[in-house]
Amino acid sequence: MNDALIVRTAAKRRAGIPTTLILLIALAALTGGFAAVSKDFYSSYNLISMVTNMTFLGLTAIGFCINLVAGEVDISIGANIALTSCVTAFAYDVGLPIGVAIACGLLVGALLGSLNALVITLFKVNSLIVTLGTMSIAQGIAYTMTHGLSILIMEDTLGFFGRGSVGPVPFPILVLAVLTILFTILLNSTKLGRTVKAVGSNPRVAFLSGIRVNRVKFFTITLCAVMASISGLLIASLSAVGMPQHGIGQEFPIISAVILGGASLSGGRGSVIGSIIGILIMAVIYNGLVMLNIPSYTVEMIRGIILILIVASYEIRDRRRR
Amino acid sequence: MGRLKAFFERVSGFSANGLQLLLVYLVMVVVFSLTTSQYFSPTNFKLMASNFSIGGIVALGVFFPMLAGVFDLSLSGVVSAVSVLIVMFFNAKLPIPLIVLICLSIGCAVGALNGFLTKVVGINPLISTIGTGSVLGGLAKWISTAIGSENIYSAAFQRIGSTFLWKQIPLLLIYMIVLYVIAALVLRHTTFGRAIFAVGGSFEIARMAGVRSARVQFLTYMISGGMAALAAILLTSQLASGRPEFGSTFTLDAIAVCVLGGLLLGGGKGDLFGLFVAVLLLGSIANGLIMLGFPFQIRFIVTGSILIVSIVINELRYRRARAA
Repeated sequence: MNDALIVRTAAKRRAGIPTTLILLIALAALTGGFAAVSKDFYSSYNLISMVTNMTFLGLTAIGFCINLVAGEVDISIGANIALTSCVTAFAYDVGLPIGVAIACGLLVGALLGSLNALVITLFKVNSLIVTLGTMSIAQGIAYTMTHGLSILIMEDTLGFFGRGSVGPVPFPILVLAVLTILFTILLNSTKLGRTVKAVGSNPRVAFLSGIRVNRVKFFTITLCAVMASISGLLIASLSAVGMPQHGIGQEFPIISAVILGGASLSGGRGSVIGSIIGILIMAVIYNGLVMLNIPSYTVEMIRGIILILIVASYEIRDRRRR
Repeated sequence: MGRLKAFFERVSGFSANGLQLLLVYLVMVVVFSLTTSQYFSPTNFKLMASNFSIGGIVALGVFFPMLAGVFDLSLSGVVSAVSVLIVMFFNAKLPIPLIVLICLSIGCAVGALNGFLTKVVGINPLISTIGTGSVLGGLAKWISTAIGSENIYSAAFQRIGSTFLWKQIPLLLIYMIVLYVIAALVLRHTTFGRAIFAVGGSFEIARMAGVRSARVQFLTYMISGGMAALAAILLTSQLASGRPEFGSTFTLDAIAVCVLGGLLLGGGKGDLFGLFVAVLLLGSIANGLIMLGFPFQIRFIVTGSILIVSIVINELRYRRARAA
């Protein structure tokens, strides 16, 4: 074994383990930093509400991450969250039972995802541009349906999803934890997960080795939409309203978090747990900024800068490794 | 029809797809004229022309990077930021020519930043331009709140965008047509123009043939940023105010119009006649639907649907052409 190989193996080992660890350290450092400068930030009320409020981003991030591993980007997630919340609230408002209303919301979200999946897989076109189109459609429907206003949805079954708790643990956090574990196992230790990775890292090779690439992509794109749709239900439950402004602009923290968590924009790589820690980091940053009385429009600017910085630094790191 | 298409393509040098689109446009004008009372009137056509001209200029800008195979999603941010900056410059009492010059430079500088991020740093163009767009959008809101005023009181500046020639033809339409003619000439008769097609067709093959592919894409970003800034100047002049929401619809509209005009998503194929007709078409659909009593937000649904349907049609058409 020559030296170069040893060095390379060592480098690989060094790069392999710590991503999650580094993220956790960063999370701890950020939390500590904000706690030191802002007393409001470190109150247990703020921390719990911050984590509860980020759960809906976390659910979407799981779907987004798996879809990104398969090599596709879905930018319509924010609009999907808005549309699902509006459809559910609208259906409940016109007098349908809550179960049917929830089913309507999820169905619309899933349909939006299948539309994305159909166009992307059938014509092999850039997923970001296709989903930009469906994003506009979904936003338009949500606005037209609600006339830009919010629809109240005060209901106990749905309310429990966002505001209930099992023992001391808020229910949404429990859901997120369970789904994170399930999807981590799915992605890392099942045949389906490995298939998704294969499709993302090299669709041509995957196709030649007998994987039905289109079917896998159809699955991941629809999964991403369904997870966003569930997030839509969650935020409708948390806020007790369905409105077209829900989820808007949330693409930024989600993409940033998933990439921060170790996913590659070109597909094939990604970590569900990493994405969730990424979402926590985003939540701490945004919440901390708000607690420091930094106005919302500056936050909009900062989230763009964060996205560019994260993607740029990962891009540079990847290139150096190659 | 087949012979007419061939004749059109030979004489004009544009693809005949634009001709079909023109037919759709005319049908739409007839339908809207019959179903609404106010659509078919000189006043409405004047209004439509001044509205779609600005969108048409943004679309022309983004046509260049898209033809070269890269995307620019920062347009909304550029339009918003420049429109707010103009108010700030007026408050600082800068002379109009200087303001115009600074704004155009800012647009080109943003384009250069996008080019730097995608071509030098190597970030996926969609993500980097979404990022710069968001930064500019936030910046626009920040500045607007900080200066606390939106209106511009300058008759000379307003004349740039709200003059009508012989009281009938909006000057904006003339700007747009002139820019399209210049762009068509550049694309067809300059080395740079030909290089854009080559790079869009295949980045690597163009590079091997001696085209500096990365530099071409970099320059197309600057064109796109500059045009968005120009559109922002015209819009701000037309409305005599600068606000951070002004840009919001431009990115999607511009991309939808480019694709509707026959531009292939991967780049390398597209023509300006199709783009021009697509601009007319989108402008008149939005206007007609509002006249029919639909809420304003219907335009989001229309634009999104146009984008998706055009992507499908273009791909089908391209496949058929390749199979033939």
